[in-house]
Amino acid sequence: MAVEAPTKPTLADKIYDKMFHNYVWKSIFRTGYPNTPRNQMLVVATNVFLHLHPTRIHRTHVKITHTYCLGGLTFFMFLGLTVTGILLMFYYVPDVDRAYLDIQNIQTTVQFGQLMRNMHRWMAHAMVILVFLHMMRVFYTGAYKPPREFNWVVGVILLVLTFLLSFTGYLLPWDQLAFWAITVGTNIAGSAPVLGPKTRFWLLGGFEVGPDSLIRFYTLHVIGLPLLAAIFMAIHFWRIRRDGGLARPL
Amino acid sequence: MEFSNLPHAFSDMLELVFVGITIFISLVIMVVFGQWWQK
Repeated sequence: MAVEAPTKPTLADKIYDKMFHNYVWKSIFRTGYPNTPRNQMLVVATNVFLHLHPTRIHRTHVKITHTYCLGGLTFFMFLGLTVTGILLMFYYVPDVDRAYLDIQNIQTTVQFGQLMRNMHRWMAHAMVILVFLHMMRVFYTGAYKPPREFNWVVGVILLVLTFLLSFTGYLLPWDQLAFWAITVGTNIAGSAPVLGPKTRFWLLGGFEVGPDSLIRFYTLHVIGLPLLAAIFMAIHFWRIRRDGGLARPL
Repeated sequence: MEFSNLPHAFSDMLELVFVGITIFISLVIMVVFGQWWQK
């Protein structure tokens, strides 16, 4: 029986191998195409859209002290901020002549306006704190380790988005505090090497905080960043289940 | 302390109290809804 000589890998084979058989790719797409009955059954049983709750969970996950529901509370803050933010948008116009007066109007004459603004402010603070506590919990329980390393990366992106949401919201009241805070903040961004000045110009829409900055920050704050955050949150939540649920003690 | 000025004297504390209560109530509503949904 003739033995076939091993064929030399072509360039296409090498590129394929480099692209798909490396650590990064495998951390994102852990399982291949389900081509056996066993794999296919697993896909159905672990599908997040078919089973919102996992079909089985570990005993340690029942206790609230395992996670303190910090990620869930962060998401709750995001939902609350969306609701109060939409209500505030009814009365706020991002125009330099109106912005500060609109805030005064919300505070003094709008029904429940003060409560809505305070809710938005405190929930924003709480979200940053909770996101940080959530990150610490994940770190201390080692939940960032494989196979969850890709979800940690998604989480870091969400952390940055949370900070950017806080930062862009800061300018909107258009008072002295907002003006100088954003002046300092964008100057810090501007001091970064190479891309700094460009980033600062792109953020402000000019060389200093002005009307163009206000509309930019407003647009990023109400649509750009929340949309991005929502997309990454969807990936983040779905990924928890894909990576085998919550981390548990070994 | 003037009586008519009382709410303003405690405005910071009142703000936190009202905000805290509202955040907590909305969380409770969501949790109760979730419980009912899962029944």
